[in-house]
Amino acid sequence: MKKMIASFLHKLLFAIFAVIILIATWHLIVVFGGFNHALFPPPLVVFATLRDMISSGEIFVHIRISLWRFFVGYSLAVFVGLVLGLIVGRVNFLSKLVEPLIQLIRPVAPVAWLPFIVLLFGIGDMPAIMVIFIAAFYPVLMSTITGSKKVDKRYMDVAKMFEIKQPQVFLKIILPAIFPYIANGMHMGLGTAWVFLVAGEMMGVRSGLGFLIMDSRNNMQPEVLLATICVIALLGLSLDKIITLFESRVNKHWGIGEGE
Amino acid sequence: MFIDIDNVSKTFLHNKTPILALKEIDLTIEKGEFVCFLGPSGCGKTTLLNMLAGYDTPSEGEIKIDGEIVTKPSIKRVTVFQGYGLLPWRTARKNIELGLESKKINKHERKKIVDEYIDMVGLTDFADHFPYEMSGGMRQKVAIARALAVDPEIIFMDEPFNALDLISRSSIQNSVVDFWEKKKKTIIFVTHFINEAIKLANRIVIFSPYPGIVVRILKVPPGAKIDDSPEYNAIRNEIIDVCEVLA
Ligand SMILES: Nc1ncnc2c1ncn2[C@@H]1O[C@H](COP(=O)(O)OP(=O)(O)O)[C@@H](O)[C@H]1O
Ligand SMILES: [Mg+2]
Repeated sequence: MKKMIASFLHKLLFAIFAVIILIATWHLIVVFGGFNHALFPPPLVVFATLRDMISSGEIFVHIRISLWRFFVGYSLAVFVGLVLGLIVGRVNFLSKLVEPLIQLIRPVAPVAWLPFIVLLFGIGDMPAIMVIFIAAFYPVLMSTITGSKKVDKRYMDVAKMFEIKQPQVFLKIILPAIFPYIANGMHMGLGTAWVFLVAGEMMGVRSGLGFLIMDSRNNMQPEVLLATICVIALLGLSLDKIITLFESRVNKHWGIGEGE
Repeated sequence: MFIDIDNVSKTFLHNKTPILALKEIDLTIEKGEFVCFLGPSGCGKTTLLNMLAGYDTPSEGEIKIDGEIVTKPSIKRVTVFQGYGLLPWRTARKNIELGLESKKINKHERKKIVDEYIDMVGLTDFADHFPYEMSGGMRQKVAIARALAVDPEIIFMDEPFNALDLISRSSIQNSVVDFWEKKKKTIIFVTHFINEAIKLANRIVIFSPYPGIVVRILKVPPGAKIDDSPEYNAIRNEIIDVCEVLA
C-alpha cells in the first residue's frame, strides 16, 4: 500500500512537471514567436477567460449538455455492442457473416457519417449522439466478440453438467466469463468516443463543447477556444480515470482466473 | 446393472494419426458402488470418465446408464473436474449454489444445503471468499461440495485430491467415504495412488496404457480399510504385482 502511494505520488509529480513545461513552452512561444496575442493568447489570458466562464456558469451549461449526449450515445453503444457481440461471438455462422461487414464499415471515420445523419434525422442532439455511438460501438463490439469466442470450455462443461438453460447460460456463465474483455472494450470505446464528441457537436447543434469551439472561432475568440480545449482535455482525463478504476475493480475479481 | 460399458473403444486423431486411447473395455457397475479407476497416466482413465459423464462419445461400443445410452451430461451425474472448474467470479457459496439454482430450489432451501456441504468440507469460514482468495486444496473442496450439493445419482471424480497436502487429503477422503456410506451414491473415482484406491473403493479397476485396457478388477474386502492389516497388505501387494508385470 505504502509502495503504491509512493509510486502514485512519483507519477503525479512527473505529470505536474510535464504540464508546467507545456504551459511554459506555450507562453514562451507566444511571447518570443511574435504571435498576435489576439490570435494566439498566452496561458494566463486563457486561464482568466476560463475563470470567467466558470464564475458566470456558462461553461457548465455546455459541459452538462455535452456529457448528457456523451452518456446517451456511449451507453447505447455499450448496450448494443454488448448484445450484438455476444450473439455474433457465440454463433459461428453469424460471426463469419458479420466480421467482413465490420471490417468494411469500420475504417469509415465516425464523423464521415455526420452529414448523412443530419440529412436523415435533421439537426439537433441526434447527430452528435450518433457519432458518439458509432465511435464507441466498434471497440465494445470487437472485444465482446473476441471474448465470447474465448470462453473457457471448462465453464461450458459446468453449464452442461448442471443443465443450465438459456438465457441463464448467457447471464450466469458467458457474460461474467468475458467481463474483462467487455470492460476493456468499454475503456477503449470511451476514449474514442470522447475524441469524436467535439466533432459530433460541430454540426447541427447550438450547445455543447464542440459548438463552443466552432462558435468561438466564428466570433474570433481564441481565448475561449483554448479554454474550451483545456476543459475537454480535463474532462476526458477524468472519464478515463473513472473507467480505469472500474476496469481494475473488474479485473480484481475476474482477471485472476484459476491460476492453472 | 446400473452402468454398462459394453465393448467400448476410443480413438483420437493426433496429427491425422489415430491413437487408440481405450480398447474394448467391458465393465459393469452396480448402483451404490464406489469404484476406483487406477493406473498410470495416459491409460485412458480421464477419457473413459468423460464418456461416462457424457462429454465425449465412444468410437465403438456403447455406454448405458440405467438402461439408456449416454449422449450428454446430466445434473443427475456430476463431475468433479481435474482442475476444479469453479467460476472465478462467484464466491465459494455462490459456486456451490450454481447447480441448486438450476434445480429451481428456493433461496431458503439453497442456503440450508450450501451450509451443510460447506461445513462437510470444512470451509464454513471461507464461504464468502472468491476462488482466487483460496488455496488449491480449498478450491478443490468447493468443487466437491458443489458436486455433492445437487444430490446426484452418480459422482465422477478425476484425481480430485492431487492439489491437497497429505493432511487435508486424508480428511477429505474420510468425508467422501462418510458421504458415500450415508447417501449410498454411486461414485467413480480416478486416481493413480494405490493407497487412495484401497482406502476409498469397494472395487478397483486397474488400467494399463498403450492401448488403454482393463487388466484386473479387484474387490476390496472391508478388512483392507485398516492400514497395515493383513487384508490391506494382501491387496496392496496384488496391485503392485499387476503393475510390475505391466512395467
Ligand atoms: N482430446 C484428445 N486428443 C488426442 N489425444 C487424446 C485426447 N485426450 C486424450 N488423448 C490421449 O489418450 C490417451 C489417454 O489419455 P487420458 O484419458 O487423459 O489418460 P489418463 O487420464 O489415464 O492419464 C493419452 O495417450 C492421450 O494423449
Ligand atoms: Mg487424467
